Amino acid sequence: MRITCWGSLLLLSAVACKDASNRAAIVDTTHATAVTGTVENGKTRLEIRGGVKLLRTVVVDRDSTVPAFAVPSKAAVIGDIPGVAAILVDTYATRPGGMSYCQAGEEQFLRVIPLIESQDVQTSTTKIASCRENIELAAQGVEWRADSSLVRIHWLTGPTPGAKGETRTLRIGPNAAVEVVKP
Amino acid sequence: MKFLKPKATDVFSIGAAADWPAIEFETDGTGEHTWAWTVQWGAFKKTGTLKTAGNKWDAGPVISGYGGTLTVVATIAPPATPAPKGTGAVPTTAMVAVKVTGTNPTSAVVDAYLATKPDSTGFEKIIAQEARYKHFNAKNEPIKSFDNGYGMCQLTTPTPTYEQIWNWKLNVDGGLKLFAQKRASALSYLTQSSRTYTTDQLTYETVCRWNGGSYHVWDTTALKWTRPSHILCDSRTGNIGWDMNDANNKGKTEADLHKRDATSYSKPPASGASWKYSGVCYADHVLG
Repeated sequence: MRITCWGSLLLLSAVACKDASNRAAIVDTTHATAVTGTVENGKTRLEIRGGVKLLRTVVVDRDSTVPAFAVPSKAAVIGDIPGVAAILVDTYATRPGGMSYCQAGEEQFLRVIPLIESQDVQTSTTKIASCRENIELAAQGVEWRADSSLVRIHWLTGPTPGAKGETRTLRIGPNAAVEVVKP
Repeated sequence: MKFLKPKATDVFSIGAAADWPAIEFETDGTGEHTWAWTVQWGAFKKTGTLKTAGNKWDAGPVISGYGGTLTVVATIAPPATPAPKGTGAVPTTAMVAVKVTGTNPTSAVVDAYLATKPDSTGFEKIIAQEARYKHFNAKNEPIKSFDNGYGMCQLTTPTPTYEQIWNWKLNVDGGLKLFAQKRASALSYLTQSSRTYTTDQLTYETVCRWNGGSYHVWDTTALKWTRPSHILCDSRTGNIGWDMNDANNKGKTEADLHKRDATSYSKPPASGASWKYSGVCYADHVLG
């Protein structure tokens, strides 16, 4: 009996601890309001803040269309699911080619960044605009629908070769995992 | 055996119309000849072998498209009867290397070539602005930039072929391929929501996008495409401008802004700079 009692006590403690850790995970519902970007070994270090509070720091890849030394010219939070994910866009000057090709161009990436560090869910990246790759957003741009946790990207010239007026919808799950919604 | 022609110091020039010269090789040997050739320029190299019944061969057709150093090794079969003792064996191979160099086309020749290409309007102005119609340097070799951009159109990505580097017409075709992508994007932009545009607007939109960004904005009152009024260009540069909605620029003249910013033009605009590279200014500068 005594052993059972201790066992029960241990079981109760474990449940209590698990409950506490769950509560700890969902307690922080601060909205992501700002992001700053710096360059670090050819990658971008993004610091996501909610007011003055640092919510998450991640290092993300760019691609070969961005100069290795380039810091983001712009970085903006376009939406969030508090405590789950921040949706943001980082923009860079394009790596120019010869003959002033794309010297005034921009490259843009949409990121969905889990706010809780996890081995299972990584940052999701979508190239949304590119001078080098001829990808251009339409006037509607990127829409964030907080009620349904959907990001909709409207392209005038999309990443699919030959496609015009392309649209892509991303659904962000409760664990910040991103899936492309089939049209 | 030895080469009667050409001499090792000979230089053969590709014509201004990208026409390759005849390069005649001749030995003092007899009978069937095997000609092993290599043409090389930097990391670019082509090789081949062929046979002729006699001692002459024109390398022009096989090296058409390539330039640099052309090395030819001619080989004949050894004589059926060995050389008499004490006279030494007659050599059965000979080697010679010559230079193949380029000639710049005139602007008229380039413009005439572009005129044969559909949807190229505006590209001749970019070539005039950026390359001054030059494909070859002072040594008559293709221009190569610090970032491995080759020839008149400074082709970098995808890496150009040996032929695109030495044949200015193929080089221009490579540049036109990129220009065509910008023209297609310009058309998508100008025709969105069934809007109309003029031929000039398409040219400005395309040339602007070559440098980056869109040229026109839709005037919802006049229902037509217009140039954005808030972009002021530094007319002393090719593509530097100011957003006059920026509080740091408002109310200032071009002269004021030039004086303030010109010393920082040697590098891309720093974070927080009030000037920028502008495709709008590029198109204005290139197209006038």
